[in-house]
Formats: sequence, C-alpha cells, structure tokens
Amino acid sequence: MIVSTSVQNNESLALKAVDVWKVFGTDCERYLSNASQPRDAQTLGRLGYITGVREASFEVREGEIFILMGLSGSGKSTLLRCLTGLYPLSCGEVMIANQSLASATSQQLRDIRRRKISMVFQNFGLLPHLTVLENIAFPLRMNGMPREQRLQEARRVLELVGLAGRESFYPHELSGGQQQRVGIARSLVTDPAIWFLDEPFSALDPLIRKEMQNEFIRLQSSLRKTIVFVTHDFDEAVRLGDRIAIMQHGEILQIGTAEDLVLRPANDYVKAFVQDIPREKVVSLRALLEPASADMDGEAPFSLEMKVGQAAQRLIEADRPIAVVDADGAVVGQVSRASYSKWLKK
Amino acid sequence: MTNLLAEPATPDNNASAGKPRTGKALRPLLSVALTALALGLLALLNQLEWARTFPQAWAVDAGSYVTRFLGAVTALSVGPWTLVDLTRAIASLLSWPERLLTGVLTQGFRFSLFGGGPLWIPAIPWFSVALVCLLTSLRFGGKRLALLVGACLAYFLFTGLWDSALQTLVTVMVAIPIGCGLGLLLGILAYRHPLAEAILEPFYDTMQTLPIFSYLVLIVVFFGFGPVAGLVALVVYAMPPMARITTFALRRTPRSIIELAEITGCTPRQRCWSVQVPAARATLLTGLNQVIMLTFSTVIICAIIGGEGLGAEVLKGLKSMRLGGALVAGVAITLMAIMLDRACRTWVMRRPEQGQARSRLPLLPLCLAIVLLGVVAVWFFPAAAHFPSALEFQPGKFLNQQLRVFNLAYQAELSALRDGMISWLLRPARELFGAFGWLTTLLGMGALALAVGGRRLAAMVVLLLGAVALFGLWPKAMLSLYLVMVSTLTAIALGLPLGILAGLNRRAYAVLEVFADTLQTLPAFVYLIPVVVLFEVGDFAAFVAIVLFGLAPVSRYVAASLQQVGGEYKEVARMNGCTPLQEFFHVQLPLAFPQMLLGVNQTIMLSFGMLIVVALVGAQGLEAETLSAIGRVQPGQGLIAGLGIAALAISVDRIVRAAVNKLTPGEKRVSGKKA
Repeated sequence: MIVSTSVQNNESLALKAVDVWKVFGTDCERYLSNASQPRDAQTLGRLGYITGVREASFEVREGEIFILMGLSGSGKSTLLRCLTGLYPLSCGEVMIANQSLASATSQQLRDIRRRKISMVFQNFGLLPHLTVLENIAFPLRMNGMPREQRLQEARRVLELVGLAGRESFYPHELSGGQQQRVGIARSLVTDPAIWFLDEPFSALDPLIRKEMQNEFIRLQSSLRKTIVFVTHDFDEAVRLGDRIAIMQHGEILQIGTAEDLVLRPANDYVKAFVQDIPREKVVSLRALLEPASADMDGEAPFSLEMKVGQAAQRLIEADRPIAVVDADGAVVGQVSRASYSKWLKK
Repeated sequence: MTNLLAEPATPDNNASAGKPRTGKALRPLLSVALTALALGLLALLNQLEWARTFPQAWAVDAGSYVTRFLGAVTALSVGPWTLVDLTRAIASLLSWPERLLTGVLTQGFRFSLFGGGPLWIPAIPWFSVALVCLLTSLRFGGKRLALLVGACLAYFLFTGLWDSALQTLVTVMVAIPIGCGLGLLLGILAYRHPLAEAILEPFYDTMQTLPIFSYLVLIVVFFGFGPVAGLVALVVYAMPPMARITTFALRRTPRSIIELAEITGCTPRQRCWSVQVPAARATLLTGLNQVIMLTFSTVIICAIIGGEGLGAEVLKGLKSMRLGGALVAGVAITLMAIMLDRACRTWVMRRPEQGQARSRLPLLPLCLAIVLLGVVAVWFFPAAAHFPSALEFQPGKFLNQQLRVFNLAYQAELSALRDGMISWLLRPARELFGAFGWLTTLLGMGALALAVGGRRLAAMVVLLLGAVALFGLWPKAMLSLYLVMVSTLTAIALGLPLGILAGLNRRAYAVLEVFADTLQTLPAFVYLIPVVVLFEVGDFAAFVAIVLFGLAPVSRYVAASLQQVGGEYKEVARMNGCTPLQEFFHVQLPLAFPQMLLGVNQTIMLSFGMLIVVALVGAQGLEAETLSAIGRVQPGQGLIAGLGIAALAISVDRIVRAAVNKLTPGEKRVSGKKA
C-alpha cells in the first residue's frame, strides 16, 4: 500500500481549483458572473439550469493521489471534466501547473493536454481500428512524433503495464482488464505531470478490479504522479487515495484523509457514506495513543501512521504496551491491549 | 393542444386542473358536434363549382416558368463559356475513369505508337476476371461466398450478359466512390456545422421522396444523354443516404472516444480524420453497403438517359416487348446486387486480427499473375477473349415463347380477372376519390393532420396540397393518390395475414424472409415484366405491379414488429394465464401496433416511389407527366410534377407518422418533452 504520508505544506501545488461551478443551461455564464444573484439550488433549478458542480475549491499537491468520490449523479465526473477542460467552466478558475484553464486559448489548452495531463476512461476509449501498440502511440502521433520513435516509446510503456507480446492485437481481442491496461499505457506515454482517472476500474469484474488496483499501486510507487482519481467505491478510495473529497449534488461535502472522514465526518451524509468501512483499516494508531510509560516494549516500535488493523494481532498477543514512534523515529507514546479494547468499545 | 388532452391532469398542471368536472363530461359531446358541423360544411363546399374543380384561371403554370428559367441558367455565360460547357467539362472528366475501367475489363486499348502500326492491349479476359473474383471471395469469405460468386459469374457467362454485367459493374464502381466520397464530406460538414445540417436536411428529404425521374431531366439538361449522364444520376442518388449515414455515425461516436481526442490534444482536423471517422468505420461501411444496393435499384432508370450495361438490356427488352430477355437481364442485376451485398457484408463484418498480414495465400501476386497470364494468352489467341458463344444459351428467347404460349392459353381467364378487378375495385375507388372536390379534400386532409399532429403539421399539409392545386396538378395528383392508396391497401390486406403468420411462427418467418429478400432486391422494373405480359398496359397492370412490390415490405414489417415484442412480455402474458388468442390480441398486437403502422407507412412511401415506374405501363397520374417531360426535354414540367408527387408523399408520410406518435404509449412522449 502506498504510504499515506502527511503532505508537507511547502510542497508545490500541481492543481488548484477555486470556486469552480459547472451549470448546464443557456446563458448560465452570464447569470453566474454576477455575484449578487442568488445561487442556491432551488433558484437555479427554477431558472431551468442543471447544476453539475457547485462551488468546488481544493488543491492537489504534487505526488498526491486525490480522490473524487460520490454516488452516480453526484457531479464527480463533471468536476473531473472541468479540471481537464473537457467542459468549459461556468465560473471559477482551475490552475494546472501554474496555467489557467479558464483563460487558456484552444491552442494553449491543446498544449496542456499534449504535454501536461492525460486521462484514463471508464470505458477504456480505445480506438477500434488501431492495434494495441498504435493505440498507445496515438497521443504521440497527434503530437507529430515520427512513427518509429513513437512506436519505440509505446513499446516501453507497454512493457511497463505488463502487456509485452500483445503489440499487434486489436482492442476487441483483449479482455476488459487488458484493455484498461492499454488505456493506462496510452495515458502514460506522454509522461504527463497530472494523471486523471475517471472510474478506471468500475467496468471490470471484482477480481480483475482488485488486480488492477494492485497494478496501479505498483505503477504509482515507481512513477509518483500527481493523480486525480474518480470512483464511487469507498473501499477503492481508501486503498488508493491520500485524500478523499466526498461529493453530493455537485457539492464537495468534505475533503480529508480516510481517517478524517471516518473519525470526524462533516455531516450525516458523509457519516452514512463511511459507515460500512472497517474502522481499523483507516484509523491510525494515533487514535489509541497513550502517554509513554516505563514498562513499554521499545523493541520494534509501531509507526504513528500505522493502521490499527495492521497492529491488532501484535497488540493482542503482546503482554506489555508497545512504543509508537513518529516519522523521525522519536517516541511519541505507546499503545496497549487495554487501549485497543477501549477503542474497540467506542 | 393534443398533448393536454392526452395527459392526465396533475396538481401542478394547473391549466386543466382548474376546469370544473362538468367540462370534462361535455368534451366528447362537443367534439362530436364540431365534427358533424365540419363535415356538413365540407359537404356544402363540395357543391360549389369552384371548390370542386380548381379554376383554370387561378392555376399557375409553374412548369414552363421553371423550364424557361433553366433555359436561362444554362445559357448563363462567363466569357465564352456557358454553364453547360462547365457541366459538360465535368462530365468528360467523369468519363475518364469509366473509360479506363471499361478498357481494362471489357474492351482493351487500341492506340498507335510513334506513327507505327496499331498497338493492341487486350482487356483482361473473362477467365482471369472470374478466377480473381473467385480467389478473392474464397480468401475473405470462405467457400460459401466463393460458391455464390461462382454461380453468379456462371449466370452472366452462360446467358451471354458478361460484357453488359461488367459494364454495369464499372459504372457502379466509378459512381459509388465518387458519390460516397462526396456524401462523406457533406455528412462531416453537417456534423460539424449545425447550420449546414439545417440547410442540407430538407434537400435530402425532398430528394428521397422526389421521383428520380424528375431530376433525371435536369441531368439531361446539364450533362446530355449518354453513359456519363447515367453515371451522374447514380452519383446524385448515392450521395444523400451516405451523407445522412455519415452524420448519424459520427454522432454516435462514444463519448469516451471524443474525450480521448480532446485529452490527447487533437486539433479539430485530427479529431475528425484520425479518431472519429476511423472509429465510425463499421457504421460507415454498413452505410456504403446500403448505398450499393440502392444504386443497383436505379441502374435501369439510368439506362433511360443513356446508361449502358444490364440496365440498358432490361430497357431494350421492355421497349421491344422481348420480355424474356428483359427478365433475364433483370435477374442478372439482382444477382449482381446480391453478390456485391454479400461480398461487402463479409468485408464489413471482418474485424482486424493480430498478425493478419501473414496470409495463407499470397493473394495479390497471385491475382496479378493470373491477370497478366490472361492478357498475354489473349494477345496470342484473340479468340480466347470471349466466352465461347456456342456454350451460351438464350433463355430469353425460350422464355418469350413460353410466355406467348401461356398467354394464348389463358387469355380469357386473365382478361376476366382484369375486367372484374377494374369494375369492382379500381373504378369505384377512382370515382370515390373523384367525388370530392379539391377544396374538400384539402381541408379534410388538413383537419386530419390537425387532429393527429397539431397546428404545424396541418399548416404544412395544407400548404403542400395547396401548392399542388395552385400549379394545376390537382386532377393528376388525385389519380396518383388513388392508385397508391388502392394498391397499398390491397397489398396490406394481402400482406397482413402473411406477416402475422410469420410473426408468430419462426419457421414461417424464415420462409418469408427468403421470399422478401428476393423480392426486395429485384429492381422495381422487373415487377413490370410479368404484369405487362399477363395484363397488357393500363391501370390494372400498374395496380398489380404496385401490389406485388408492396407485398414484401408489408409482410416483412408486420412480421418483424411482432417478433420484436420482447420475450418477457410473452412470459408475462403466459404467466397471467392468457390463451394464445388473448396473448395475441391483448399483448402482442397492441405492443407491435405502432411499429406495424410505421411499416405500413414505409410501404406507402415505397409505392409512391414505384409510381414512376408504373408510368411506363400506363398509369396516368403525375408520374405520366414526369415521364413525358423527359421525352420532350421539358425539365420544368417534369420537376414540378415530380415535386407534386413528393408533396403528396410527404403529406401522407407526416400524417401517418404523427398518428404513430399519438398511438405510442405515453412514456416516450414524456421523455421526448424533457429533452
């Protein structure tokens, strides 16, 4: 699993969204441009507008995996499309690598897409008339790279996703999992700074999905991309994400780590949403922490960020409390069988 | 207005909820009274002389205006060149690929080099062509396709139609790429610019309902008589369907593919040509296939303005009453259409597979070798260029004799049948249509349109029919309408039971499908042949031809609409204890009915298209006007009469479609409103 480190604030931002609105309907830009007009859901609905995203503001740091999560119709895919410029913003601003999307000309937008960002689609979006290798090389072809060179590049990425030997297959000759591997390879071939994934594994069988998630984790551990990942599956979000934004009716309800969401849900909707996730999978030992005492076991201390579930076995078997250290190795406290059982009862 | 009536009053639908209940009870009474009043008025109108027959003084002779206008247009000149010079130049440009292919396949090339003796490069001989066709079909379509192709080729060879068949093939091979290429461009244009679509769409609509004859005259004016004019007609004919299919296919591109194009930073041009068009390949190829079939159905019509090949053979046979020969050539057209259809389908269905390049047969070199060997062989033995005529047999002559014998033997019975039908069905129907004056019919149709489709539809129908009256076409138009209606209704009466039987019984469906396939690929002209032989020219022959033509689509549509009723509905019916009859009347029929009606509509449209063909055997409506305009080269009159047919067809079509919409259960309409 990717270590979910607490991201340092001084790290540079990869993506920033400020007060992003996406409203469908004629002349909605003009309506929204006047800040004094009422913008509540009822007013917009009465005017015949359909709100896709309302007032989304957040920042994604470099190397972070940011998850947009919500049920279908919650606006998560719409928001993703606003971030990539597929939908023009109705209002607000998106900055990608210090470039503004809202004011970008179509040529600038094209340049951003050719060099800075890429996307993986839920239904793969493979071109049926191209082979696997040609599909992967497609973005480079649009960029005008000569054939030999782009196929060379494509072959490199193809090996990365474990599809070596399938170069000359056509999409319809591959299984769903393999097709999405091609989609992933294609989105990596330009070596983008930000990687957008729109429910990439939702169309796959549960077993294949698990396998692909592992594959994704393996890839990311070496690539260290900035990622915006859309999913409706909270388990997936917990497994893959650093921070999660929960959306409903086009609105971001809460942004935080899985632990934040479970321990401090902002409202009942979030609470209901995270209810079914086993708490010991997301809660770190921080929640069990007691002041250090004299008889604690200092050998092989736990990390502060370790999830309760991972520590449980040893906690139950150990006779003495076990020391807990922070990222720098300094002892910050201890956990014990008693503190574990107290936490379980809560 | 009609929508309000159809929908239940809901609390927020305050307009109708506010009305007192008594209003609702009165409504049926009121409408009965209104209808009676309207009928009375119409009956009264019918008594007035000027409302019965359209006054000559009001009529506008639009035809001669258009003819004169076209005359002026053709005489338009830029410097020494007139517009016709330009179109003729295009024509000669078009004739190049055709002449080239004709040379390669049938005639060979003769030229003299450096003033020396004449040099002769023979055409590819028949055995090489046949071998190449067989090998290619074997390679891509397997034994079944090869067998079909072999049988068709053998038919062409043994009936002595080889050269005509190749000529037709050449025409189609030149016309289709040009027509489809232009259609593709237009389709893309319409997809990318909504304005272009708004302009093009009505054009396509009219062209599809406009009988091909009426623009045939235009082509004659601009391109003259001859093979090239025929070619142009085919191109014009192939373009609209291809353009429509292209727009449709592009519009159906999956969203993820379009977003992929965006996210990889495609320019609009890259998006179109590198992503959307190739991704829509399968649909486009299916469209191409349809265009090919359509083109074959017009090959004979093109022969009227000088096209060569099998179409000309059919026409020659028809004109000189050597009907056997016409029939044989007609069958050849059908066979060629089927052959190309199957070949294309194999090509369309074939999906690329990895490592395809490594084929079992080195096909291309092999074919080249066959062609080369063939040409060389003919060079040394010129006699080998032609299929030995001793082996040909003339089924046409034989058929002619048989037909004559049959005719003599059953003369009395046939004419009894004809006369009976005329006096009991056709004449009464004709009189019925004649009994109503133009104004009554016009207003009646308008009222019908109002009832099923609302004000816009009514306005359109009244305008279209009003124009027909204004241009002095009314009496002829009614003759056309009567013929179409009587024959379509007869076709429906005969086809409905067949269709229902086939819809309920899978085995019957399979049989019907084979018959319908064969009947529908036969060029419309071929239907005339037996009809003329049996019943001579006249109204009745026309009637029989249209009925025969309509029978296949009616029964097929009815059967298909019944078959489409989902299995779950049948299970629902059975689990609720329906008897088979109950299942049919309470479940299948109501569910299939709108579809069925659409099928009937299609058949009416096809019959309108067939009108022009039956003009050749003595129908007297607008279609006769169009046909005679070609002979007299009066493009204006031909065009106006053609537009008259189109106006009738469009009116009927829209009214029936509105009725279908009204009959379709509410669900669809609600969703339609939302969008």
